[in-house]
Amino acid sequence: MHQYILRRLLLLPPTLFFLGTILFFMVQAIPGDVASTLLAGEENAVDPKTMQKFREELGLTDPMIVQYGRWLAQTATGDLGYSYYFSKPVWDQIKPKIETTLTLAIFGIIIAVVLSLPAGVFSALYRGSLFDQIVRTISAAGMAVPAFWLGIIILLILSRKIGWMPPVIHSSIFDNPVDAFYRYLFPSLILGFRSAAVISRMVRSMMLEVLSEDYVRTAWAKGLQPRAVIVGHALRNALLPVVTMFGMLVATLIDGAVVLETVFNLPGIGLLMVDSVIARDASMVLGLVLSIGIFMMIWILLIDLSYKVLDPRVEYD
Amino acid sequence: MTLETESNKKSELASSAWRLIRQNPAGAVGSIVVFIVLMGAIFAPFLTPFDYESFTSTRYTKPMGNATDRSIMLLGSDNLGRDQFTRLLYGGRISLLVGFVSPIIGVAIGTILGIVSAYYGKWTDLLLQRLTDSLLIIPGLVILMTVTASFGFTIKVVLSALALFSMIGSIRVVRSHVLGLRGAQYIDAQRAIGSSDLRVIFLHLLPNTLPVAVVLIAVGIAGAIVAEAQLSFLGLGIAPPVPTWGNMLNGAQNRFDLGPHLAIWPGIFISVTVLALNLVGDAVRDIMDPRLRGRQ
Repeated sequence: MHQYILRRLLLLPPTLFFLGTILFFMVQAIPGDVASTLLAGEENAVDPKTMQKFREELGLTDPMIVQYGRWLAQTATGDLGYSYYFSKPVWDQIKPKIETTLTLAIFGIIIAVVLSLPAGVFSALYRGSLFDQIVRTISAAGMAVPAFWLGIIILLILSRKIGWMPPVIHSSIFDNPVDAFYRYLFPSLILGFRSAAVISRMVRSMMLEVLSEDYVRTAWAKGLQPRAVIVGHALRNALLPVVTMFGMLVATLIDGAVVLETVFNLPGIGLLMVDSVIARDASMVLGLVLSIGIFMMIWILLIDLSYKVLDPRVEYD
Repeated sequence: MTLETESNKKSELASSAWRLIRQNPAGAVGSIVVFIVLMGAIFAPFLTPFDYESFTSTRYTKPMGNATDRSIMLLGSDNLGRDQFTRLLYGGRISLLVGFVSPIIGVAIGTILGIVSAYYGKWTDLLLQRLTDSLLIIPGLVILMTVTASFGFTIKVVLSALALFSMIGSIRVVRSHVLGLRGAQYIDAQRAIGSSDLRVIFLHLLPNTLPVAVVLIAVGIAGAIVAEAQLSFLGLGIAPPVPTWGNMLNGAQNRFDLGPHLAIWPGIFISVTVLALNLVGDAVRDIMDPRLRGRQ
């Protein structure tokens, strides 16, 4: 077990190195550089000599490989660089946004679990019933309707019925609790609903598989309470593969957050990502994707380790 | 004689087709819908009197309203006075093109790389696995945005980005499939009689991997269409004036008062197509790999 954790931890740096290298060279293709972003703008006519001098000062005229080495050394110390578009260190720009996205994701997961577990379990237990058919239809629809469009439609209904639209200027929860409530509630609901569509389907099929296992039949034969058989024997085993999905589920949640934060104008990681891509701010994009990568790696490691807790039979080679 | 066998064959084909439909009615309905949508996109010029770029009426004409030439506009006009139905048909061309072509390219390359990775093992495998691992941990939309930010908001870039994305996913799946095949006796036998690596890969491993690849493509198409729609909606995919279902929704939430129909219809087109493609994907998976039936 310890060896396994150690080996997984040792794999993190090379994975990050590969990711960083690919990203670094990719964002080099972004047209324009920091110097032109900074000096252009108000008076477009910048003296080319000034521009050249400025580029040299920033080290932009060095060979690519030198710039790469410098970036690598800098990133290795945990410094994600400076965003010239936002005029802030990259991490300082990211940090305050984490809370928003995390809130959205946590509520999304809670809603997903609350919706999908009973839906999946009962549609497996009453296979072929009206309930089963309704759950499966809703889940198929939930997987087909894109999150951003669902967001747009909800906004359309809200603006028609109660005349509410997300404010253009961000205000804190304390300044305007009603706005904040709406802006968090609906994206969380959409995120949760769409994840529930996927999870409930998985729970249903795993439950169906497990319910036909010998040990479940034995449990029934022993005369156990239905509750004990279904929750203690069947569900516990059916949920194991579902937990695997939680690794990738968070990736889906981040994707969902990107579009929903844009639709509902929530200042989170997703909206920051969109803004930096539109501004074509290379260091910001690089820093953001790397941060997301680190977060995802740790998250997936935790999920993998949790198997042992959930299923003592699991052996790590 | 020959006539008879031919008609036998035909009825055999018809009966097996009928069996497929009976076994999988959802898949059959899905394929019909996908077929209709595809035909709509392909024959767009014959289905609508308007051009997707020209201004045919006043701005924000309601659905069933009149164009300047008095003809009826089925789904109304957009913020520039262009016919929405026409733009949806033409937009379908781009959305479907990107959606169908990118998983095919991506899975094709991914299948080859997956086989190579599993067959040669050692350094090749290690390098390819680190590469896929490092990209797989990034959420799909985020990696796609990074690619379009770097290389531009054009069809080519979006198509390549989506192909890259489905390639990364398929390498992993194909690799684990081939690892299972590698120990099979017929592969050992090929080695024993001295077949070349290329022969083993192309004549034995590849045909046995095709069902997996077909399923990956079938499932990937719907994902690619949604991904393109999301990207273009954010303004980070295919840029206007070329219409796609995604970029037609860009800014829709700012026009609720004048054009609510502009927020509704592109989404319906996306959802119906994706739902149909999901049904087809499930059916393909059931047919190709009965062991996976009902899973995920």
